[in-house]
Amino acid sequence: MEDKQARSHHHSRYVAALLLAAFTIGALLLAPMDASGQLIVSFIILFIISLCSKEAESHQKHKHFFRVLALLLGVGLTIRYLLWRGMYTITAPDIVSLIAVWLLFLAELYAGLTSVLGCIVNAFPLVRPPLTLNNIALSSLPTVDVMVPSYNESEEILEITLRAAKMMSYPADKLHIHLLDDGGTDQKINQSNTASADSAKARRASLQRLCERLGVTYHTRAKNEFAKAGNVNSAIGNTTSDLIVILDADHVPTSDFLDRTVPWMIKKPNVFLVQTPHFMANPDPVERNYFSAFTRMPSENDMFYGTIQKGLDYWSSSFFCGSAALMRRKHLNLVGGISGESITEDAETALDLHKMGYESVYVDQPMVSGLAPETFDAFIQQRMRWAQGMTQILLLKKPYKAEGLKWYQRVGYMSSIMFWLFPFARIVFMLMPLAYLVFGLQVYHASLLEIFAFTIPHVIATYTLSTMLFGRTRWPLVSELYEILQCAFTLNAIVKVFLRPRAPSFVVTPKGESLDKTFVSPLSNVFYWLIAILSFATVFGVFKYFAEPLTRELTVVVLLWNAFNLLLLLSVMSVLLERKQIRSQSRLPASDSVMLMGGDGQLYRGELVDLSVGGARVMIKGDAPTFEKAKLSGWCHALQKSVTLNIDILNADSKSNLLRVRFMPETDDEENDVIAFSLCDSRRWKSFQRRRTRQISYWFGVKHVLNVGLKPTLIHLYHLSGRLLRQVTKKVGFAKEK
Amino acid sequence: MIRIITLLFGFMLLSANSVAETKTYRLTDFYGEGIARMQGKAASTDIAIPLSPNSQVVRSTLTLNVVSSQALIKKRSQLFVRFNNATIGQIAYDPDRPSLTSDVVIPTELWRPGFNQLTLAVSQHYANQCVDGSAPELWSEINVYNSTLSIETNKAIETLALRDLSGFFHPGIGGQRNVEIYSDIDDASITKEKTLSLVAQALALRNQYQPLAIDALPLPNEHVLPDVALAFGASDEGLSTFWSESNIESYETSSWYRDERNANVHVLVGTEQSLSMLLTDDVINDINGPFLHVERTPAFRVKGETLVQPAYRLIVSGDTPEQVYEAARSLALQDDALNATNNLIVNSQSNALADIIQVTQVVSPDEHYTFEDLGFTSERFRDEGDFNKRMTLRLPADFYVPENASVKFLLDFGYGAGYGPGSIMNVSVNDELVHGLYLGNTNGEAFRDYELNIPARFFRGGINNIDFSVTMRAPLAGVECDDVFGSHLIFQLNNTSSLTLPKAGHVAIQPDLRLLGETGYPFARYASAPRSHIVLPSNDFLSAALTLAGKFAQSARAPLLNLDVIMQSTIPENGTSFLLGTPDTLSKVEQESFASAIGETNRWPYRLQNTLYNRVRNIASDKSFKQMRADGVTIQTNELGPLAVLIAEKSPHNSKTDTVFLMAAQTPELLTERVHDLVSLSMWGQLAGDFFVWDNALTPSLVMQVNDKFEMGEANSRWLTLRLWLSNHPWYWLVGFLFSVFMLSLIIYLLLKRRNKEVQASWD
Repeated sequence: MEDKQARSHHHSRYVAALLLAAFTIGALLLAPMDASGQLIVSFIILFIISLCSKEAESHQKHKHFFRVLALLLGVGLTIRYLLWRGMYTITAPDIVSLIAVWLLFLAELYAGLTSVLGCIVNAFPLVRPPLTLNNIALSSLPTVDVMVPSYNESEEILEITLRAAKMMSYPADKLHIHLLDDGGTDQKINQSNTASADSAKARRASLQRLCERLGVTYHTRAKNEFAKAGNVNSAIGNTTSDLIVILDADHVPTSDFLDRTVPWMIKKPNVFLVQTPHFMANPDPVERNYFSAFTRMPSENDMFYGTIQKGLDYWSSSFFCGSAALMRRKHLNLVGGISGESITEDAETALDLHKMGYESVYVDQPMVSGLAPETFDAFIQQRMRWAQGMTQILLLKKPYKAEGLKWYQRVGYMSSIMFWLFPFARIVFMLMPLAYLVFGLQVYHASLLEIFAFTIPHVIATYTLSTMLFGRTRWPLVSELYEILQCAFTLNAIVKVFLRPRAPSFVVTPKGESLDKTFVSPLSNVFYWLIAILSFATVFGVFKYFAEPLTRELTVVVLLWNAFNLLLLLSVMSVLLERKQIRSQSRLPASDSVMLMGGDGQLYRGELVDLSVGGARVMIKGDAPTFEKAKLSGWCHALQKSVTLNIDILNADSKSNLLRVRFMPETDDEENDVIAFSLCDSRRWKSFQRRRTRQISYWFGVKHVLNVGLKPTLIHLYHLSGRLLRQVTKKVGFAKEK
Repeated sequence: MIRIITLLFGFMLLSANSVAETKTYRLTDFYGEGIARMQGKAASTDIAIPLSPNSQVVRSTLTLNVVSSQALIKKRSQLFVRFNNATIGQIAYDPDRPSLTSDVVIPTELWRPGFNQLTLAVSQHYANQCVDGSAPELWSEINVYNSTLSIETNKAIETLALRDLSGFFHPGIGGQRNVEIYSDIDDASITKEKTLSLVAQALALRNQYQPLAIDALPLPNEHVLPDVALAFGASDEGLSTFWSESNIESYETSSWYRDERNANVHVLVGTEQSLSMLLTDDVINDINGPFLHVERTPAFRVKGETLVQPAYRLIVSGDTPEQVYEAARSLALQDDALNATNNLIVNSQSNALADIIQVTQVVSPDEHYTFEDLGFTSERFRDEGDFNKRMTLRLPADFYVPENASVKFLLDFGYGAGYGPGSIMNVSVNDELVHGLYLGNTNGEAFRDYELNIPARFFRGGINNIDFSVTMRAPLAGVECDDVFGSHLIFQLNNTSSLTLPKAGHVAIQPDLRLLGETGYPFARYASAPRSHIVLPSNDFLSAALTLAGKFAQSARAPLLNLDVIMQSTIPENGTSFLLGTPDTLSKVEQESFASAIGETNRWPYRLQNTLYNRVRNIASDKSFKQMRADGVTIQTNELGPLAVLIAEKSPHNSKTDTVFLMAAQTPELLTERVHDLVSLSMWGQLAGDFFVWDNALTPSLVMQVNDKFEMGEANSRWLTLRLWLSNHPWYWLVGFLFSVFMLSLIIYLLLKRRNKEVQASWD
């Protein structure tokens, strides 16, 4: 009791000192200073930030202190910049300029706020130790229902997921697998469109057969109400296990999924959720079309699951991401199952349970591999749903004032939600140079010296902090690219939510699409327009530079800003060029030792180069075999045994001794072995993730982005001119025919 | 016979009343540049020539020195000379005689008091038809420096009154450039400390920009009748009876105490008692309080020889020294036009405090002014050509604004239809172009509240010139050799236009002799008027001190009631000080902390001992953060010779930051002479830096910036005070910020670690 009192007393003293220091800093940030003085102090602070961020990335004992110091200094520069902008630069000669000035300032306020929230969230990422069920008595283990909701995914995808789920290390009598089919509901079967109804019937029958074959319980329901949330809730009503695992149809679990997650549920009865990362086994369109560096560059997911969720976990606000998560039935029942007010039912459910005081856990180990959307169209559809759903939560649930949430949980949720409002700021930042260059509006009322003293340090500080926080999981300028790609479409979607918060409906992201030829995305037109507008602004800016010598300083600054936007836009052209994808499954790097046994009984030692559920490449030690069929043996970590798989050798390169093989399972068990060998080993995902999450220098990142961005621009021009030429030829031919 | 006597009498009166004066001026005295270049088919330039209203021109001749292009053809190429719009001369250009000097007589009846406009216009052609107006060979030059105006003037005063003071002290031809002030200079009363300086300022202000050399003279101690024997010559008939009662009285009413033999105004300053020996009984009887009086003293002749010249004199008096000061203050403040009598008694004055008076002639920050408020008249330009309208804006010398402040202009202007290519309007502030507009609408345009936001950094403390330059071109005819006349072109700038000044503090960067020259700062300030001093070691320097006081007032355009003249040999404890002295007297002054010093040994910061390559920088806008202080010095013993040295430094022991000026020459006489050089138009305009050396009235010998700069003044609000302080001491802010952030980081780090421990503990 005394100890508790002493701690409380200490805590109060800390808080008092914290408030005093914060007040002092606030006063100092408000204090006015001429630009020349500010220039000196800003660059000294930047230098200190740079030193601190280096220390924060090292392995020394007090690295977290340097991290906090760097964050506070950087946030200090950002706040000082915003205060200066608000207090001294918000003037305009006319109403149109005033609107432009305020739009830009609001966009900057938004960017500043999200940056500050991000700094708070990611100040101290939580590192949890790996737990297992090894020391827990089997009899005391809770029962688990694994639910795989499906709407229109192919049977092949579902089969892999269900087989993998069945192979999870957990007592069989306590593990129940359920397929929740929303594509074969009564409503679907009885719909008026007979072709669709027949298709739904066939789907239901086929999936029922699949479930029967695999020993999985098939569920469907009368009506497709509340989309995925409704589907899961319907199944929850028909099941009884203590814990519920929700897996998307394409989310293949590794065998240790329950081994790593269930202990957290046992340890703390207050935990309602154990979330794990979504590991994507294939590149999203940006990674595939733009960088072609899926295996070398951190993906978009890595930033969220590798950094942000850990930060949220520290603040007890890591949230449910729709799949790859373990939930407690008892807690779900308290909120009536999965919430369905918004179309991001996952985050909403977590929010509801956080409000009730229950805890969430984030286990940073990739144990589910899924499929990212293959096309840009599907990618945008997915992001629009996320943006709309998060905006719905903001408007309908108001997490900033939600009762029951601690202040830091509110910060966590607001940070996650506010991020999705980026299209507004991104569009403003992209188009605002036009206001000055083309329309002559004075949108930024500052001298060049002030820009150097306030604006540049703020921008540098923001980038430095971003590199410190996310350097390993996000390369420079990549966020900008993702945002530019999405902003035009998601802005429209968000505005609709603001107008009618309850209107959006759940749209399933198409996955597993194959691309048999290279083509230009149908969503490209908006980018052509943007490029045309920004190019026009650049030309106008150059003209303005020569025609208006009085404002050259500002013109140069705005021109550089516009050129930066234009370069990014030109770079995204690459993403819009949908590249042909031959393989149906993406192969990921592997390095397992394997043995190949030919028909003649001769053995070959080799090492895997890459691996997918369909096949692999093997580097043979010695001469490459010449036979066409063989058996491949290797240690399957997921099953803790050696497996032997029938393979066809598709190609053998005698020079490099590289074999391209296809798995040809002949039995049901062998099917399982292939899946277990290729998809159910979490160590494989972890090692792959480690391989690509590495830090690069800012300038290397910029160079990389520019390098890979320019060539596709030429290809686009080629395609565009080809299209125009075809249209012209067609018209000319048509005219001749006439 | 009676007629002849009447004529003779009239002539005598006239000769007694007006002494003709002939002077020759270079035209550069009235025109800014040495050469007026005339380019194109037609061009003209105007020269404003001011004339004192007290002067009547008897004769005037203009001598023009002209060079013209040899391509110009006779008869069609000529220079027209117009005076107040009347053509007074036509000079034909002759290709065989490209260089010429021509005399043009200006008819006396064309002269008028105030400003007279001399227009030099040319018509230039290289062929009889199809002349390209932009052909480079269409040129001529008037050498303004070598061109002169010879003018003979008389004083023309019918009834002398106080209002005539503006004529005596006038920037134009006929105005006085020096004046004697008689007072009891040995008396250490308020008269010497304050009143004399105020009288000097009052007269100098009437001279506007023209210098006024003050000669401070003592009142005579005793009254001694002159020896008139010489006038009587060999015949001493009547000599013994000459000093009759009436002659003595006649002598006493003249300006017998003057050595000068001209009719210029001189001034008597003192109490009724101290001046009683020089004044008539009537005047003495009139002194019943603060008293101003002008009169003309008669000549005193002996046997037809003028022993004492007639003279005009101004009497500043009162019953007590305080009343004399009151009278002097009234003299400094009054509009002469309102005083049509020759004397006045001041009963009371309000709003006559130093801090109020010094701001009346400057525009106030955070205020809105129409151009009309600033004395700007609407301007209309007609015909083809280049036109300029300048508006002068006098900002407080210590005008201090944040970097991003701006001055907002709302312009009302318009231009008529039928403008051709090349028609533009440019706006520049202090010769920096800030806005341009192409006048390209063939139907003309009229703008109301045309908004310009000009960064306030283009403006500076003191005088700011805003130029509206308009080039009007006729449209192209589109037919060869068929020009369109531009007589239809019209441009109008209305004085309903306005400007809004931003909020400003009152801070100036010191030391800065340029600022002193332009605005009188730091003797004249805006937010306050602390006591300031001209410090002299002896009466030998009084003339120089009063001349400088007058110049400061001219620079400030207002009398400086806070400026005292004091006698001591050290730097005063408080306030801005201007110390005059010789090396001997300045040896006693504390100069240890100065980069340079004058005394028995001089400390000179030679340029090669320091990195003073730039010599003088505009310290107000200097962002290089280079240490300006000169560290390398040579200490030497030598006399100053003909040189005068003016140094500005941070005052070494003032409790409040302030500036001290030191000026030295080898002797008091030389110093007075150099002060006269310094206040001349040419030299005063060249004041710059903080180390200024000269030995003539044309160009300084050396101008340098050798001292640390510092900011001085009142920020006018706590916010601006803080801004000023932090801008001067960014390191304090940085240290405070880093310390606070460090402490906050430490606390947050400890709290985060603590939470981390708690979270981990919950896993066990």
